Amino acid sequence: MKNAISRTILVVLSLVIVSSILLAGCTSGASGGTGGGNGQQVTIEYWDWWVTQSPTIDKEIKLFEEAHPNIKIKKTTQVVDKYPELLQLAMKSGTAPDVFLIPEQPKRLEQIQQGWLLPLNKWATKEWQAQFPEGSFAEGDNVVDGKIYSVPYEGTAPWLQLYINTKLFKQAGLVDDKGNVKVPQTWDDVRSSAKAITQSVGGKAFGYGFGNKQKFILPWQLWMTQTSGATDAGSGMDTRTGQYVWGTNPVYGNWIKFFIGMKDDGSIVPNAMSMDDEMARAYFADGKFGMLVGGVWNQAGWAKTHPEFKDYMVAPLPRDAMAKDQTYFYRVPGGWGWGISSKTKHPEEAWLWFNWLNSKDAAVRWVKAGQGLRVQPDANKVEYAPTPQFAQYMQTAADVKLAPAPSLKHPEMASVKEQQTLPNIQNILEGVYTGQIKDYKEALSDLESRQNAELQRAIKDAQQRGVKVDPNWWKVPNWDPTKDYQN
Amino acid sequence: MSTESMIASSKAARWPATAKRDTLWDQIRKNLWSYVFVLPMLVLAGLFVVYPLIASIQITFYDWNGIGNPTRWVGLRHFFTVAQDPLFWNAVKNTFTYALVLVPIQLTLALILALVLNNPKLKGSTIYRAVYFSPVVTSAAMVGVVMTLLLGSFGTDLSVFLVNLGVMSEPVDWLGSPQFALPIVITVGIWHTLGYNLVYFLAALQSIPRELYEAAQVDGANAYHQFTKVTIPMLREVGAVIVFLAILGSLQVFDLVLVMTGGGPFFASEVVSTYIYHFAFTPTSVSAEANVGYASAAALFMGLLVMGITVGQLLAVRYARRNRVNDA
Repeated sequence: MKNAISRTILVVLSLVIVSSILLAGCTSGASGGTGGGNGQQVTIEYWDWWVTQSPTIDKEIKLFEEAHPNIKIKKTTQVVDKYPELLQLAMKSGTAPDVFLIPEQPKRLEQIQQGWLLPLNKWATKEWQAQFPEGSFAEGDNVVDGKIYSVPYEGTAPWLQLYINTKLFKQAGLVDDKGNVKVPQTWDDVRSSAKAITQSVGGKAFGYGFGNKQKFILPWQLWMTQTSGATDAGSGMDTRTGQYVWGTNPVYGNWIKFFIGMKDDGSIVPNAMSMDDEMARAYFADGKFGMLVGGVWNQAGWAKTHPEFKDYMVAPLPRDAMAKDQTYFYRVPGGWGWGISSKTKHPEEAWLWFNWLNSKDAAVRWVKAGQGLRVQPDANKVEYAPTPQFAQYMQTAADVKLAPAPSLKHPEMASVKEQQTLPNIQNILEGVYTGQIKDYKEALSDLESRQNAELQRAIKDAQQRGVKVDPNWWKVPNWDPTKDYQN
Repeated sequence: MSTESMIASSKAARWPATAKRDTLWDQIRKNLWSYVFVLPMLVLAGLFVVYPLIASIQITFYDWNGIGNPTRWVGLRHFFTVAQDPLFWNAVKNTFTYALVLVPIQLTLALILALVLNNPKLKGSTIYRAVYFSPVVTSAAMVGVVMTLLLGSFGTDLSVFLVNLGVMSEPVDWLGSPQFALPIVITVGIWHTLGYNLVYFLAALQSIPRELYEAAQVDGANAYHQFTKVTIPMLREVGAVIVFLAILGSLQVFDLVLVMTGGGPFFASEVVSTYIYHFAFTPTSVSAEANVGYASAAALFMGLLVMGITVGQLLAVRYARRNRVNDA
């Protein structure tokens, strides 16, 4: 009898647990908001992928909540390489955050078409728009059919820089007559400096390092081609021809030759392929290697994890001294930052938080915290630079030029959906670096052929679906990459 | 009665060959409570395993990036592409390498440890069991992160130390090396799930009647003969199930590979699960669309392959069991 009762209790308990799980799955709301209106407490769910920027955002949340006692911001920092998937799942399951950083994938136009984003026109009046520089709002980009969906937050500066550990450089004697560090200007300078550092400390430190565990870090190194003839080191596309040019443009192959040469010298930290970027940053600050490619977020990261570390400086990415063409980092009109979910139950409160994040005061605090430049020029004054290194970073901003953005004229281009073709550039760089690919020129040409074929297939596919797209839209033959392009 | 005949009668008692088989309904009625207890798990498995499996078959016929509803019909194109993709077959090769290396080593170690821990004279065997089982209760992702940190950050020091000793000519990036990445993942895999098989073997060993060993001792069998003539034959049935589960489990390896190497470098440790993942969730750095349809086709392709192996294994086990029962 006792056994029978116990079994009954167990069965009932099991069913209750299962039902609870299923019900919990079915009843989670579209927004994390609670209460709302009439002075009631409202919770705004906020998502980003920022780790090193986290203290600054936390400070903004604190200030915002003080100014708006009835609104609470619940922040979730998602892992950067899973962010698009997590956001997509949240959108599908009706648990999307109210305010969030808008990811690059899926394409922004598709995010709009799927109804993820709330149009901001109700609040984003002409007066409000006027606080941002000209070109911040562009039809075909962050404005679609007159509806505004976002505003850029970042100022224009090359997004990657070369970080130099000055202590190691000085130890290796890489200084001029006045004792100032000799900043590597070219790829050859980088290679010789890296070799000198490695030899000077007898294997206790290396000249160069990176942490490729997240897989996208090796392609970051390839951005050294951006000022040496590549018009888009990220995608390999040349807008002048509307083609991928991984093999045709010799700059990519030349860079691989230089980089593998540096590896063969024994100048690159040995566990570069398996450590992650955070670990590489810590290694750099600990003096385990002398040069690192990264963004301005590195500086805030070191301020948090290695507050005593000051022996470093910032320089533009080095270029190929032999390169025939001069190219630059580029920007296009429009731009993206945060967005508001169309499913939010508290649009007014969400807008208040969105507006706070994009305000000039928040922008100044952002710059003063050394997080980077902001889109409002007034926020980017040199006197706001918290460190000499941040001031060095500010100086690189002049190197950015306007590039053509054909998709502004032809938003239909977003309907052309190129699919992944493997091995992609990051796979190829890995293969070459580890010696699994011997002929990098052939690998680059093969990638170029596959990606161009995929682009043609995707265009045809879009045409068959009734989208009027023209392959010529991808070409801007009159673009001179040394000058600003007026879109 | 000799030891062999005792074993035969013991097996016959456990698996009667001539007993009249009950229908499924008879079995449910007889063991109602057991089925009630199994029901929640069946419902959950149906919802989260069977339904997605069946639903994904439809997706294999579309180009679909996972957003909205699939609309671009491609027929069987994905299956042909998967079958012709050398990277898929490289992933299949790595997956089977993982299984074929891991399973024999892990099961041999698990059996040896189970025999040691089953020894009644061993003091503190419960503690040892807990220690050996503890990796199993740690998530594979967590194990992967810790191992990556150990090999990633301290790996340099280890490498430099080995170079200084003259063991190696240059430092090795353990998880970033095409030669070491997969073997290291296999080694960690062996350690991580060893506890499961240890417990299975231990349970099987404890189900062998003590009288068989006593009879063997009376017959003059030494420890070796007791192992080969009593333990092994009595473990055969359960052992087949353990092998079966170990192979299936290792063919599904995913989290350990994803966390430790991401399938790299340059696909050196790519297994089918990570291959599928890389197509279903395109990395943010690549400006291309994810293709859940293609990923589903690859998953189905591999699923059919594994199903074929499973059916083959089942038939082999059934055939062997029938032969043994007939012999008995």
